[in-house]
Amino acid sequence: MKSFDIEKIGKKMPYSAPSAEFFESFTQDTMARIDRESRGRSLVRGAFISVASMAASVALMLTMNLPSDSTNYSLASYDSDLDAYVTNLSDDELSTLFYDMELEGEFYSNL
Amino acid sequence: MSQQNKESQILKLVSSAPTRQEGFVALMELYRESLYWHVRRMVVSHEDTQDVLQEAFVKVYRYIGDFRGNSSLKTWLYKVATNEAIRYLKKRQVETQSYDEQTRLLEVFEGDSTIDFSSLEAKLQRAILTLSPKQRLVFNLRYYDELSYEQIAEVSESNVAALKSNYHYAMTKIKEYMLNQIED
Repeated sequence: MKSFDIEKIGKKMPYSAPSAEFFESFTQDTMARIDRESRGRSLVRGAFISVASMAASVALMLTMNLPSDSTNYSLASYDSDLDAYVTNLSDDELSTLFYDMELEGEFYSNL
Repeated sequence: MSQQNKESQILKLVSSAPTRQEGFVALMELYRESLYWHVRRMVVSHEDTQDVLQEAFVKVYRYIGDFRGNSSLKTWLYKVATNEAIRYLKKRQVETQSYDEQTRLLEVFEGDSTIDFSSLEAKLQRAILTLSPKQRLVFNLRYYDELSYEQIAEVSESNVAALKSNYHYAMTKIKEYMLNQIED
Protein backbone atom coordinates (compact mmCIF):
# COMPACT_ATOMS: atom_id res chain seq x y z
CA MET A 1 0.00 0.00 0.00
CA LYS A 2 1.20 3.50 -0.85
CA SER A 3 2.00 5.88 1.98
CA PHE A 4 3.36 9.38 2.21
CA ASP A 5 4.87 11.11 5.22
CA ILE A 6 5.91 14.69 4.55
CA GLU A 7 8.22 14.64 7.57
CA LYS A 8 10.40 12.09 5.76
CA ILE A 9 11.14 14.70 3.10
CA GLY A 10 11.67 17.37 5.71
CA LYS A 11 12.36 20.96 4.73
CA LYS A 12 15.05 20.40 2.16
CA MET A 13 14.52 22.40 -1.02
CA PRO A 14 15.24 20.99 -4.51
CA TYR A 15 16.95 24.24 -5.55
CA SER A 16 20.69 24.74 -5.31
CA ALA A 17 21.40 26.99 -2.34
CA PRO A 18 23.12 30.33 -2.92
CA SER A 19 26.61 30.65 -1.49
CA ALA A 20 27.62 32.71 1.54
CA GLU A 21 29.37 35.05 -0.94
CA PHE A 22 26.05 35.63 -2.67
CA PHE A 23 24.47 36.90 0.56
CA GLU A 24 27.49 39.08 1.37
CA SER A 25 27.43 40.62 -2.07
CA PHE A 26 23.63 40.97 -1.90
CA THR A 27 23.95 42.98 1.33
CA GLN A 28 26.60 45.25 -0.16
CA ASP A 29 24.60 45.82 -3.36
CA THR A 30 21.45 46.61 -1.39
CA MET A 31 23.26 49.07 0.89
CA ALA A 32 24.81 50.74 -2.18
CA ARG A 33 21.36 51.10 -3.75
CA ILE A 34 19.90 52.48 -0.51
CA ASP A 35 22.72 55.02 -0.35
CA ARG A 36 22.19 56.02 -4.01
CA GLU A 37 18.43 56.37 -3.58
CA SER A 38 18.78 58.28 -0.29
CA ARG A 39 20.97 60.85 -2.06
CA GLY A 40 18.45 61.06 -4.90
CA ARG A 41 15.57 61.59 -2.51
CA SER A 42 17.52 64.35 -0.76
CA LEU A 43 17.98 66.05 -4.13
CA VAL A 44 14.28 65.78 -4.93
CA ARG A 45 13.42 67.14 -1.47
CA GLY A 46 15.99 69.92 -1.96
CA ALA A 47 14.48 70.81 -5.32
CA PHE A 48 11.00 71.06 -3.81
CA ILE A 49 12.31 73.26 -0.99
CA SER A 50 14.16 75.41 -3.53
CA VAL A 51 11.08 75.83 -5.72
CA ALA A 52 8.94 76.59 -2.67
CA SER A 53 11.50 79.14 -1.42
CA MET A 54 11.64 80.72 -4.85
CA ALA A 55 7.88 80.95 -5.05
CA ALA A 56 7.86 82.60 -1.63
CA SER A 57 10.61 85.02 -2.73
CA VAL A 58 8.75 85.90 -5.92
CA ALA A 59 5.58 86.47 -3.95
CA LEU A 60 7.50 88.69 -1.54
CA MET A 61 9.16 90.61 -4.41
CA LEU A 62 5.83 91.15 -6.11
CA THR A 63 4.42 92.37 -2.86
CA MET A 64 7.37 94.69 -2.27
CA ASN A 65 7.73 95.54 -5.98
CA LEU A 66 11.52 94.91 -5.95
CA PRO A 67 13.38 93.27 -8.93
CA SER A 68 15.83 90.48 -8.07
CA ASP A 69 17.53 87.45 -9.73
CA SER A 70 19.21 86.09 -6.59
CA THR A 71 17.34 82.75 -6.63
CA ASN A 72 18.32 81.75 -10.18
CA TYR A 73 21.65 80.18 -9.28
CA SER A 74 20.42 77.78 -6.61
CA LEU A 75 17.55 76.54 -8.78
CA ALA A 76 19.87 75.93 -11.75
CA SER A 77 22.24 74.00 -9.51
CA TYR A 78 19.43 71.75 -8.21
CA ASP A 79 18.12 71.26 -11.75
CA SER A 80 21.51 70.08 -12.92
CA ASP A 81 22.01 67.68 -9.96
CA LEU A 82 18.50 66.36 -10.38
CA ASP A 83 18.98 65.83 -14.13
CA ALA A 84 22.22 63.92 -13.48
CA TYR A 85 20.52 61.73 -10.86
CA VAL A 86 17.48 60.97 -13.03
CA THR A 87 19.67 60.28 -16.08
CA ASN A 88 21.57 57.64 -14.09
CA LEU A 89 18.42 55.82 -13.00
CA SER A 90 17.36 52.67 -14.82
CA ASP A 91 13.78 52.37 -16.12
CA ASP A 92 12.98 50.04 -13.22
CA GLU A 93 14.38 52.46 -10.65
CA LEU A 94 12.46 55.34 -12.19
CA SER A 95 9.18 53.46 -12.26
CA THR A 96 9.80 52.30 -8.68
CA LEU A 97 10.52 55.86 -7.55
CA PHE A 98 7.34 57.26 -9.04
CA TYR A 99 5.22 54.24 -8.11
CA ASP A 100 6.48 54.47 -4.53
CA MET A 101 5.78 58.18 -4.29
CA GLU A 102 2.20 57.64 -5.39
CA LEU A 103 1.11 54.50 -3.65
CA GLU A 104 3.19 53.27 -0.77
CA GLY A 105 3.34 55.78 2.01
CA GLU A 106 -0.08 54.92 3.34
CA PHE A 107 0.41 51.13 3.36
CA TYR A 108 3.74 51.11 5.19
CA SER A 109 2.82 53.78 7.71
CA ASN A 110 -0.12 51.63 8.81
CA LEU A 111 1.91 48.60 9.85
CA MET B 1 21.40 36.09 22.47
CA SER B 2 17.69 35.38 21.92
CA GLN B 3 15.89 36.43 18.74
CA GLN B 4 13.88 38.99 20.70
CA ASN B 5 17.04 40.56 22.15
CA LYS B 6 18.65 40.68 18.71
CA GLU B 7 15.56 42.41 17.31
CA SER B 8 15.53 44.93 20.17
CA GLN B 9 19.19 45.70 19.61
CA ILE B 10 18.65 46.14 15.86
CA LEU B 11 15.65 48.42 16.39
CA LYS B 12 17.67 50.52 18.80
CA LEU B 13 20.48 50.87 16.26
CA VAL B 14 18.22 51.74 13.31
CA SER B 15 16.27 54.30 15.34
CA SER B 16 19.32 56.54 15.63
CA ALA B 17 20.72 58.23 12.49
CA PRO B 18 24.45 57.64 13.23
CA THR B 19 23.95 53.86 13.78
CA ARG B 20 21.12 53.34 11.29
CA GLN B 21 23.21 51.71 8.56
CA GLU B 22 25.04 49.48 11.05
CA GLY B 23 21.69 48.35 12.47
CA PHE B 24 20.28 47.75 9.02
CA VAL B 25 23.23 45.60 7.97
CA ALA B 26 22.72 43.56 11.17
CA LEU B 27 19.02 43.21 10.29
CA MET B 28 19.88 41.98 6.80
CA GLU B 29 22.44 39.52 8.12
CA LEU B 30 19.87 38.11 10.54
CA TYR B 31 16.98 37.73 8.08
CA ARG B 32 18.32 37.75 4.53
CA GLU B 33 18.59 33.96 4.22
CA SER B 34 15.20 33.04 5.67
CA LEU B 35 13.54 35.80 3.62
CA TYR B 36 15.44 34.67 0.52
CA TRP B 37 13.89 31.20 0.83
CA HIS B 38 10.46 32.58 1.63
CA VAL B 39 10.51 34.74 -1.52
CA ARG B 40 12.11 31.94 -3.56
CA ARG B 41 9.25 29.63 -2.68
CA MET B 42 6.85 32.32 -3.91
CA VAL B 43 8.53 33.45 -7.15
CA VAL B 44 10.61 30.29 -7.86
CA SER B 45 13.50 31.72 -9.89
CA HIS B 46 16.73 32.76 -8.14
CA GLU B 47 17.12 35.94 -10.21
CA ASP B 48 13.55 37.08 -9.52
CA THR B 49 14.04 36.32 -5.83
CA GLN B 50 17.14 38.49 -5.78
CA ASP B 51 15.22 41.43 -7.32
CA VAL B 52 12.18 41.04 -5.07
CA LEU B 53 14.27 40.66 -1.94
CA GLN B 54 16.35 43.73 -2.69
CA GLU B 55 13.20 45.74 -3.33
CA ALA B 56 11.77 44.48 -0.03
CA PHE B 57 14.88 45.44 1.96
CA VAL B 58 14.99 48.90 0.34
CA LYS B 59 11.38 49.43 1.47
CA VAL B 60 12.18 48.12 4.94
CA TYR B 61 15.00 50.66 5.19
CA ARG B 62 12.72 53.44 3.99
CA TYR B 63 9.83 52.64 6.32
CA ILE B 64 11.45 51.12 9.38
CA GLY B 65 11.05 54.46 11.12
CA ASP B 66 7.28 53.94 10.85
CA PHE B 67 7.44 50.43 12.35
CA ARG B 68 5.27 50.66 15.45
CA GLY B 69 6.21 47.36 17.08
CA ASN B 70 2.62 46.08 17.04
CA SER B 71 4.02 42.84 15.65
CA SER B 72 7.51 41.35 15.90
CA LEU B 73 10.14 42.68 13.53
CA LYS B 74 10.31 39.24 11.91
CA THR B 75 6.58 39.25 11.15
CA TRP B 76 6.78 42.76 9.72
CA LEU B 77 9.70 41.76 7.49
CA TYR B 78 7.80 38.72 6.24
CA LYS B 79 4.83 40.97 5.52
CA VAL B 80 6.89 43.44 3.51
CA ALA B 81 8.65 40.62 1.59
CA THR B 82 5.34 38.83 0.94
CA ASN B 83 3.70 42.01 -0.37
CA GLU B 84 6.67 42.70 -2.59
CA ALA B 85 6.56 39.15 -4.00
CA ILE B 86 2.80 39.40 -4.62
CA ARG B 87 3.29 42.76 -6.34
CA TYR B 88 6.01 41.22 -8.51
CA LEU B 89 3.85 38.21 -9.41
CA LYS B 90 0.98 40.49 -10.43
CA LYS B 91 3.33 42.60 -12.55
CA ARG B 92 4.64 39.47 -14.29
CA GLN B 93 1.12 38.24 -14.90
CA VAL B 94 0.29 41.51 -16.68
CA GLU B 95 3.49 41.22 -18.75
CA THR B 96 2.78 37.60 -19.79
CA GLN B 97 -0.92 37.94 -20.51
CA SER B 98 -1.42 34.46 -21.91
CA TYR B 99 -0.35 32.69 -18.70
CA ASP B 100 -1.91 32.28 -15.33
CA GLU B 101 0.43 32.54 -12.35
CA GLN B 102 0.44 28.82 -11.57
CA THR B 103 1.31 27.78 -15.14
CA ARG B 104 4.09 30.34 -15.34
CA LEU B 105 5.62 29.31 -11.99
CA LEU B 106 5.48 25.63 -12.96
CA GLU B 107 7.26 26.47 -16.21
CA VAL B 108 9.97 28.38 -14.37
CA PHE B 109 10.34 25.48 -11.93
CA GLU B 110 10.55 22.86 -14.67
CA GLY B 111 13.06 24.97 -16.57
CA ASP B 112 15.55 24.93 -13.70
CA SER B 113 18.34 22.65 -14.91
CA THR B 114 19.87 22.34 -11.42
CA ILE B 115 16.87 20.44 -10.03
CA ASP B 116 16.81 16.65 -9.77
CA PHE B 117 13.18 16.12 -10.74
CA SER B 118 13.18 12.49 -9.63
CA SER B 119 13.81 13.54 -6.02
CA LEU B 120 10.99 13.59 -3.49
CA GLU B 121 11.71 17.21 -2.55
CA ALA B 122 11.29 18.24 -6.21
CA LYS B 123 7.98 16.35 -6.38
CA LEU B 124 6.89 18.03 -3.16
CA GLN B 125 7.76 21.46 -4.57
CA ARG B 126 5.78 20.69 -7.70
CA ALA B 127 2.82 19.63 -5.58
CA ILE B 128 3.04 22.91 -3.64
CA LEU B 129 3.10 24.87 -6.90
CA THR B 130 -0.23 23.31 -7.92
CA LEU B 131 -1.94 24.83 -4.85
CA SER B 132 -3.90 28.09 -4.99
CA PRO B 133 -1.78 31.17 -4.20
CA LYS B 134 -3.35 31.55 -0.74
CA GLN B 135 -2.96 27.87 0.17
CA ARG B 136 0.62 27.95 -1.11
CA LEU B 137 1.49 31.00 0.98
CA VAL B 138 -0.06 29.57 4.14
CA PHE B 139 1.52 26.16 3.64
CA ASN B 140 5.00 27.62 3.03
CA LEU B 141 4.86 30.01 5.97
CA ARG B 142 3.64 27.28 8.32
CA TYR B 143 5.62 24.27 7.14
CA TYR B 144 8.93 25.78 6.01
CA ASP B 145 9.15 29.05 7.94
CA GLU B 146 7.44 27.62 11.04
CA LEU B 147 5.45 30.80 11.67
CA SER B 148 2.54 30.49 14.09
CA TYR B 149 -0.98 30.89 12.73
CA GLU B 150 -1.15 34.22 14.56
CA GLN B 151 2.00 35.43 12.78
CA ILE B 152 0.71 34.17 9.41
CA ALA B 153 -2.56 36.03 10.08
CA GLU B 154 -0.56 39.26 10.45
CA VAL B 155 1.53 38.58 7.36
CA SER B 156 -1.43 37.66 5.14
CA GLU B 157 -4.09 39.82 6.79
CA SER B 158 -6.36 36.82 7.34
CA ASN B 159 -7.98 35.22 10.35
CA VAL B 160 -6.57 32.19 12.13
CA ALA B 161 -9.57 29.92 11.47
CA ALA B 162 -9.41 30.54 7.71
CA LEU B 163 -5.65 29.92 7.73
CA LYS B 164 -6.01 26.60 9.56
CA SER B 165 -8.57 25.55 6.98
CA ASN B 166 -6.25 26.63 4.14
CA TYR B 167 -3.37 24.67 5.64
CA HIS B 168 -5.50 21.58 6.10
CA TYR B 169 -6.71 21.63 2.47
CA ALA B 170 -3.20 22.32 1.23
CA MET B 171 -1.82 19.33 3.13
CA THR B 172 -4.62 17.09 1.85
CA LYS B 173 -3.97 18.12 -1.77
CA ILE B 174 -0.23 17.63 -1.36
CA LYS B 175 -0.70 14.15 0.08
CA GLU B 176 -3.02 13.17 -2.78
CA TYR B 177 -0.55 14.51 -5.33
CA MET B 178 2.40 12.78 -3.72
CA LEU B 179 0.59 9.45 -3.40
CA ASN B 180 -0.11 9.58 -7.16
CA GLN B 181 3.58 10.26 -7.81
CA ILE B 182 4.94 7.52 -5.55
CA GLU B 183 5.21 4.14 -7.16
CA ASP B 184 3.89 1.09 -5.28
